[in-house]
Amino acid sequence: MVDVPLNILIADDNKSDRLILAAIVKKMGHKVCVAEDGVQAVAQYHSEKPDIILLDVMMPNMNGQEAALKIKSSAGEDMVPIIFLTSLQDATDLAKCLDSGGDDFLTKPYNKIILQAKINAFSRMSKMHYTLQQQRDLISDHNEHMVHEQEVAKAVYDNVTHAGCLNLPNIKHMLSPFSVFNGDVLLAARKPSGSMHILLGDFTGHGLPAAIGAMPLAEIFYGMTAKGFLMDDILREINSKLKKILPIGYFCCVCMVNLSFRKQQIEVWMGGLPDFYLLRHDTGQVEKLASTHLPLGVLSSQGFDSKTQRFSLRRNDRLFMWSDGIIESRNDQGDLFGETRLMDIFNGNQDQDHLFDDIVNTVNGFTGESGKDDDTTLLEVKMVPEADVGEVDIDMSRGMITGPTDWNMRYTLRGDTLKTFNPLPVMLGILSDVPALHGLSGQLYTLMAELFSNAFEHGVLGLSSDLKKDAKGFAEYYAQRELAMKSMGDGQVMFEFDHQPTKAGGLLTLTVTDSGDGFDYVGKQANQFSEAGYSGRGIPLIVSICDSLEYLGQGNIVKVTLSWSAKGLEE
Amino acid sequence: MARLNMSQIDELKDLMEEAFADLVETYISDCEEKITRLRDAIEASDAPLSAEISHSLKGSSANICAEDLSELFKAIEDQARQDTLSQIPQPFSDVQDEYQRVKGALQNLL
Amino acid sequence: MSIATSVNGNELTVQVEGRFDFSAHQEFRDAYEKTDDGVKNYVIDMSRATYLDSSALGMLLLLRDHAGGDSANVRITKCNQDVKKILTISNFEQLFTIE
Repeated sequence: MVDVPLNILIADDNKSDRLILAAIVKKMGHKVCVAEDGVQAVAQYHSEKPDIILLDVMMPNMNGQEAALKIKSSAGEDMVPIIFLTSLQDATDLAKCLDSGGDDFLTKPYNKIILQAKINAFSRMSKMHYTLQQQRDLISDHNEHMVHEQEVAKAVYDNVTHAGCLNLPNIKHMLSPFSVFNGDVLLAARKPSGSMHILLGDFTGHGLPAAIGAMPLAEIFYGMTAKGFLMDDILREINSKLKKILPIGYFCCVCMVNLSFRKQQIEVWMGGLPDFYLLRHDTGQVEKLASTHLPLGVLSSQGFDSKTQRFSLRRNDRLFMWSDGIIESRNDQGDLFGETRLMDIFNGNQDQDHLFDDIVNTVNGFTGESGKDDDTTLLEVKMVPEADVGEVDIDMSRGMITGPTDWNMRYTLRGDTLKTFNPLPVMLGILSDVPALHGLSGQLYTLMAELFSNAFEHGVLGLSSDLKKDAKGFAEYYAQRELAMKSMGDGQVMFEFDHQPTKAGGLLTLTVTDSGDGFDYVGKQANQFSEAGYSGRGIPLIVSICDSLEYLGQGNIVKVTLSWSAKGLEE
Repeated sequence: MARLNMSQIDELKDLMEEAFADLVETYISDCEEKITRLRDAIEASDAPLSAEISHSLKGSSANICAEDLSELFKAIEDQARQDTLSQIPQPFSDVQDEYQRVKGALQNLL
Repeated sequence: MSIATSVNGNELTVQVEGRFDFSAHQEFRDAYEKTDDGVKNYVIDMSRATYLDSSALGMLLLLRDHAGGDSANVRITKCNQDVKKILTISNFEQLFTIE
């Protein structure tokens, strides 16, 4: 007897033959249903769902071959073995049986042992086929489920990684992921000061494993940028986070740019990405920016180097950034797109406004039908007047409840801390507790940043601001700054904040005192600190923000005031 | 001539058990009807019908272990398929005689 | 893509042939994990490598970790221009001796 009885359909017009076959099959332990012609056989197939069909060839009404064709076509991908019962000997007749969907033959007189062997063989085959179908369907279900999960996860991912300001008019970008998730990350966010941070990252690999690393990266980038942290701090934090969470051998090639609209300058940190191009608007010349660091997530915090390169930009100068997917895209013949082809686009360009589209079209035309084998990301950033990109969006929804209005605080930075620590986020955090000042955080950040760098660079380090007049001096200035920092001994910068309530709102007084020698300010009014004599001190900028500016002592003390009115803010 | 293959018929009896008698009766009534129709078809020179009936009889006779009778039907089927009914080697009465002997032998087994 | 190894004293040389990419992952790992503990110096011979991608960079970092991390002695030799370029972009000379 068999483990699992099968349901076997016997279709034969000859009653005595049917009796013998049915006896053999029942003896084996299977169930039997019968049909006397082809038409009945097809009907029985639908009603009885037999596992195996024994089908006579020559039958009235509909012959076995026709019946087999009908049964096989309605069975679709289910396996229904058909064994033809025949005494046909002609090879073409046998071939016809196979063509109509027969799987085997049984010749008359019926041999019990051979029939048993055939039924067993087909039973095993059906079972295997069924298992295979089940597993295939299971895999397909799993896959569908996984794709669905990925789509949901992608929505979350997109919310986290695309929360920035990539839609600003000075940015063009293209992200074309190789799989649902992108191994490339493109982030942009405005700083409280109005400047902009941009980050292009390319994680090892594609898809989910790459995207997972992108989540904390984006969180850190957006969170710290909004709080006013500098590029240096943000990169350190991302590096140490990635080093901690990524397995060895996985990392993220990154380029981060700090773009200052007011200073018309970019600061670049690049690790592991191909050269970027800086296109000068006036001359059409291309300057290449090369990677100078290891990718993020490779070095420990101690070994990490956050040194940046600075470039002066003029209006309409453009920076082109890309992941290696552009240069390494391949055509049908397997050739790489390569840097030469990329450079040719720049050389042949007639209209800088169309350059971005030219690159996209040329790369797409090159890869053609061969498809992509990596994520490709392309970004163009243009230097524009700050007015073109609008105000930084500050959350004013917290309302105008008074908050702390009558207080004083002193914060002094000394020695190494002065060199390495950025105090602005902490101080901005405290000022932001005054709701009205929270709304001014962009301006306050700029104000404190300018005063701090004046106190530190011109005061403590004693650097001359004259150098920063042109591009050459600019570089020289930063070289001197490096040197002076190394040889700096004791030194300090003290911030004193004083906030008092007024009838209209409040008055903030900020006094910054440095340990430097000061300078000759006597006889000069605030509006006379023109760019000519004191370039680089950002004094016009400071004056534009606060109500008054005053130098005291030997010029090593500067006092600014800023008043706010509740009325003015409500408007 | 051996009417029935005796070792095979023993196996068939074992297989069919009490249904053996039913099988024999089914075979006999089927044969009698078909042999009459076959004779008419041959007389009418209807080759396709002759082929169809003799094919069926050939198969069922083989299954009931009547090898010689099955051979006789096969000879008729072969000629019918070539549309040469006139060249059937044995006269039809030989077929009828052999059938009667098979019938007798089968009924003896009951 | 194929990998060949040879040991000379305490130095293991791994020669990479063809495209050095993710398909080499297991073979490359086996190449240094299955050698004796006596190995102190590692040489990656790139003379027959035509191309290298970011997953290959990852594999090199894994080898460096296996070889002792910051105290590892791993030399990457005989790189062609394309291979050299990719190593340079990623600034791998800070982690490996590239000859």
